[in-house]
Formats: sequence, C-alpha cells, structure tokens
Amino acid sequence: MRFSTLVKHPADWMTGKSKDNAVVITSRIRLARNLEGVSFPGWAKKAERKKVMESIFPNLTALKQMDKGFAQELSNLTSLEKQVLVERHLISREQAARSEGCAAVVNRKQSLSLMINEEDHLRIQSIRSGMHLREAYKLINKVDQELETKLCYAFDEKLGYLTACPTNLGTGMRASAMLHLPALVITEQIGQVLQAVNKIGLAVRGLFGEGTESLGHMFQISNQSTLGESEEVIIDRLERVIKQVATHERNARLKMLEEDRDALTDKVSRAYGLLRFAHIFDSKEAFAHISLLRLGADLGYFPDGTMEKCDSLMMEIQPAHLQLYAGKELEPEKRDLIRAEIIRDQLQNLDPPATSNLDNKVEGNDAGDELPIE
Amino acid sequence: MNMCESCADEQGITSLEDFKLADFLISDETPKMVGDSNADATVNLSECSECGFTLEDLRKIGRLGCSSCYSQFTSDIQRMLKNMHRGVEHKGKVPTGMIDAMNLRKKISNLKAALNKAVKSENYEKAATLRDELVKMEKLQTEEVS
Repeated sequence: MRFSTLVKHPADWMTGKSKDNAVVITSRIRLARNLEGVSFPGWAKKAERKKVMESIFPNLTALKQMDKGFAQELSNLTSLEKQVLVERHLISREQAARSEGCAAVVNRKQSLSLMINEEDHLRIQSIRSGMHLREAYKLINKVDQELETKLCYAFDEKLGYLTACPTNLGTGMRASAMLHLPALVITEQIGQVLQAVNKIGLAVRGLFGEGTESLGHMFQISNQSTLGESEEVIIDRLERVIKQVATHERNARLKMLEEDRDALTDKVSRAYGLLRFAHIFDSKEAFAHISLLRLGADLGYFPDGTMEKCDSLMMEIQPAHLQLYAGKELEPEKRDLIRAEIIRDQLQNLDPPATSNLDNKVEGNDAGDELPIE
Repeated sequence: MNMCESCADEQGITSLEDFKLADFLISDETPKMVGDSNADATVNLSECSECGFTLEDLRKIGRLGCSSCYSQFTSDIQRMLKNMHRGVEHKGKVPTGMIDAMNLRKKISNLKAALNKAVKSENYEKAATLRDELVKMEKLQTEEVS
C-alpha cells in the first residue's frame, strides 16, 4: 500500500464506523518489546539501529496480518507525510523526529501498526473504534506470539519484558481509551471524575494535550503501572473504570437534556452556526465547536451520520492533514483559513439543530445502556 | 525530578495537578540513585559492561542503555520500581514460544558439538544416535517456523 492510498482511506476507528463510540471513541493497546544484546534505540549508535531494523523489518512485513499493508522506512517519507502518520496515531512524534533507522508497518485497515526503533526496538499497537480493549489485545497478542518465535526478545523472569524506560517494564503494555466528555466538562464534574480516576492509579490526559486543557473535550485514560499484574488484570480494571466514567458522562448528558435543555440547545446551535459560517478557525476553537456538534449529534439534534462526520473532521483539520489536503506547506494563518473552508464544505448540507427528536432520545437511552456504578 | 518528555506524556503529566502524580511516581529516591554523591554513599557509578551506560546517563536521557543495564543496576532500579508500579515482579505474559525456540536452538547447537566430538573420537555408535536426535530436532525447528 502506498502512502497516498493510506491517506485516502481513513481507518474505521477514525471515522467512527462503530455504533457504540459516542462516549468511548477509541480503544488502543500497545506493547513494547526489545531485542536482547543490542542497545535500546535512544542509546544505540546509528549503525546499530540500522542493524536492528534490518533484522526486525522482514519479520513484520511477512506477517499475514500485514498483507497489502503499508511498510516504509521513515527516512523515505517527507516530514509532512510523517506528521500525517503522527496525527493518525500510527507513529509517535519521537519516532517521526528521529527517522534514521526507523520504520513503520501498518495493516490495510490501519487497526494494527508496528513501529521499529521508537523508544523501544519494537512497538506493536492496535486501535479500535468504541470500547474494545479486549479485541485489540487479542489481535496484538497473536502478532506478538508469532513474532516471539522469530525474534529474541529481552525478557527477564522477574522483571518481564525489558524496556528502555522502566515505566514500561513487565508487560510492556499500555492500554488506553479516548473518551469524549463534553457534558462532564460543561457541568463542571470533570475535575472530580478525573481525580477519582487518578486515585485508582490510572493516568488521564487531554487529547492533543499540549497545554493543561483538553481540546475538544477529549480525554485519554490509560494504565500507569505495567509491572506486578497480568495483562488481563490491567485491562479489567481499566475497562471497569472507563465504563464508569462513560456512564457518568451519559447521565450528565441526559440530565442536561432534561433540566437545562434551552442552554444546551443554545450551545449546540451556536457551535453549528459558527462552524457553518466562520472563515477563520484555529485548531483550538474548531475542536471546541466540533465537540459540541458531536454532543448534539449523539443527543438527536442532527441526523444519523453527523457524529461520523465530526470524527473525520477532527482528523482532517489537524495541521498535517490540512496541508496535505492543500497540497503544500502553509503558514498557521493560512491554515486557519483552509481549516474553516474544509469545515464549511463538510457541513454545507447539515440542517440546523432540530429539537423534535430529543424526547425519544431521553426515553430511549434510559431504557438502554445504563451501566452499574460501584 | 527528571523525566523525558515522552515518559511525562505517557504518564499523563500535562497539568499542574497531574504533577503530584509524577512526584509520587519518581520519588525522592531517584535523585539519589543518579549520582548526587552527598545524598547517598552507595551511589552506583559503574558502567554497564554491555553498552557503557551509567546512571548519570539515566538522569540525562530518562531511559536505560540496553537490557543488560537492568542486571547491572539492579538495586537502584528495584528502588525506583516500588514507586512506579503496582508490584515489583512480573505476573504477565511469558514468551513461551520464544523460550521454546531458544531451548531448541540451544539443544541443536549442543547436539552438533557433541556429534563433532563423537566423530573426532571415532565413537561412531554414539555419533549415529546423536545424529538421529539432531535430525529430529532440526525437523521440529523447521516445523515450528512454518
């Protein structure tokens, strides 16, 4: 698969082609693995890194899951192309910056990606739409089991998989989910919820988390500890907590709909108006409004398919995707213009928010996916 | 507190509030182990025999040099792990496939050496048995790969 093909076809998880991703947008699992007897990528000399890549790369492309996939040494890609892969969460920022001796192998559906010479010699990652950590782990485990017969992993009976950073030691597994939590933010319950999550020993951070605030009300929850527990135990706890947070968000949404409907309708309508007609959008503002549109879509203000549109927009308006769309590198001011143009274009046929469906939504949801809170 | 950007990233340190968590994770033990000689007389100043890495480098880059560093700096790392993870002993997956494959490779190379020795000492009866065994093992190995 060529780069252009990869970019043309967004993965299912990016466009939300799953029915259950209104709150839990994506689930992701990654494993860190290293080869025995070679320095970790950050400490290795260039030649050593190259050797590692040459020994791992053919084993990855030979995987049957990688049939017709994308496989490329990063030094063969332009910096914009690498940035696109970063925005798609297929490679890390760090790997994109180093690039010498680094490679990425991605399957056709873009649900499985393998990275060579990132922080560790090998990272295996799987992303799914919705709450599907177990499925993601199953796939990743299969790949790992196949690779371990061909590669000599650095493994210690007592410390588990040996990783460049001791924070990944043991299972080498980081499991995470991306959650959309606008109602908890609006109703100011978010701090409390996140604090509780932190207390359990899980990490929380904003998506596009450069500052202290989360853009677009997106939060990532992941396990902090990787040693001392099995993969199953880690995933179980994470899943339980994520489901509880999702239930809180669900309840907050319904409560707003019941008790504060006018204010909610006003927020969603303002977001709609701005997105449809504004001419300059920086990322921050765009994410904030798209988030409200997405919330409105979930609550029945917009027709089916609107949420998917929001999800693909969030990908398309990121700097590298946007410049790829424009076909050239752009100054930030110019990007803001193009960003607004893409949004207007994508939403031109979207009708204003309708309030006629909202009551069904309240009843429908009450009967439905309520989750038990411990 | 010493932490590379990506560790900080992974641990969710993006806000001031989260920083408390970081302090908890990388406790006050960390500065001691990375070579502040006043703080601790037992500071480990040695180099990893495999890759030349020192704990001073850990302070600088926030990561270890190679997998052997873990055995080189065992006690320093153990101290750090207590505050970092829920346990200090691995309870997760074991790469049994890799271990099996490794054992098989080891067995084959041992058999080959023994066979050579038997041939050299003209112990042909033993060599024949060893060869049969070797063929069996090598067959097992190709089966596993395919």
